Amino acid sequence: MTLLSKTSRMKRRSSDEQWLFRALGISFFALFVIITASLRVVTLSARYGIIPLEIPVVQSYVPDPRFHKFDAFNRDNITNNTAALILTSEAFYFGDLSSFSVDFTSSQNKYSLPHKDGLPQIQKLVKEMSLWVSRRSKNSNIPLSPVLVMIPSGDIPMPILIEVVAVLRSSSLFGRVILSSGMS
Amino acid sequence: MTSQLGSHNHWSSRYVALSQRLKQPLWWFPYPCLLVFGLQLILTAHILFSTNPRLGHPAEPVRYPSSPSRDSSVWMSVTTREKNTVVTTNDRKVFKWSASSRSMDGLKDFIFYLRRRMVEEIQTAALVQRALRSQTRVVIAADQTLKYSHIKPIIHALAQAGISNYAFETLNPVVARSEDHQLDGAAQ
Repeated sequence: MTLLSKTSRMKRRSSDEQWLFRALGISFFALFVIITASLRVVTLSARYGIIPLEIPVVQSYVPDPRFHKFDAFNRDNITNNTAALILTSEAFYFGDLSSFSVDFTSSQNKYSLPHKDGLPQIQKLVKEMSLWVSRRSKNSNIPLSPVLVMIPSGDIPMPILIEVVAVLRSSSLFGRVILSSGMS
Repeated sequence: MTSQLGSHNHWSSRYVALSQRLKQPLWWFPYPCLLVFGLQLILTAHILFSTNPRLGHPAEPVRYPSSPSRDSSVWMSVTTREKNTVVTTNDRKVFKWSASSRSMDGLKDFIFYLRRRMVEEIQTAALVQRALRSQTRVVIAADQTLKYSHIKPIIHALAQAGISNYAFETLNPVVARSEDHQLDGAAQ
């Protein structure tokens, strides 16, 4: 009886019965969807963003002979009163750009904010610089400039530098940050 | 004897049936081909369009929330390897120089490459009559282990190449928490 049933099942299996093509198509489609979704989940790219910085350029007059006569203009200038920030492994130092160049020997025109247990006090720096900029604007009638020249020392880790720049740019004080560079 | 004859008849009939079937067209044969074709199509499309373009670049940028940018044309990752600064660009060009070098000689090829890329971007913008300010921006994905002394020559090279617009890339955290804004982890 068992042998007979097996024989009949074998006969049915090897008969001329048609494959169910729709089921096959749907199965393949489902398989491809699952594979695609799995690959997408495994190799999904992370989200990246940028923190912009600038390199100052020297303005030069180039005549435009065409109809519109386009003329380049400068948005901001770097002057002696442009804010400068020095970042070392011990402290922040800030002041006018002139206080770190022509008046470097004077100790009255620059401010320092030491790191606390090796950690830069960025929020405190923003508050101190905000006070200094607003006071300087009132007392000396120096206009507020969105430009900051930043001079980090070479041993500053990049994560700290990037975070300091990001916090300063996100504050209302400075919209344009210039990093020092060079081969020394 | 009867069972042997029956068995012989059974296999003879199966053989005849099989030979009949082999004379008929088989409708299942495209399916294995379709399966292979579909799989390689999915894998190829996935590699071309879905794979992270930063794959193969060893730099691991700092995790910090920042605004995304899509139009930057020049992207480069910066890492250190065996006391060398290694720059890998988005078109798979690799430049390296000694991290302790104080000379511009090691950066000549890099500066030439930057100038060529900028010329290409400007020519493209002129031909399509459409220019974006971010088109000439250089995005630097600096590895977390780097120090500013590694990046200074690159900024100098950008200035030498006439590029005034650059940015540092950060990895946006999935969930921005308040402690992500602290410097504790970075400083340690």
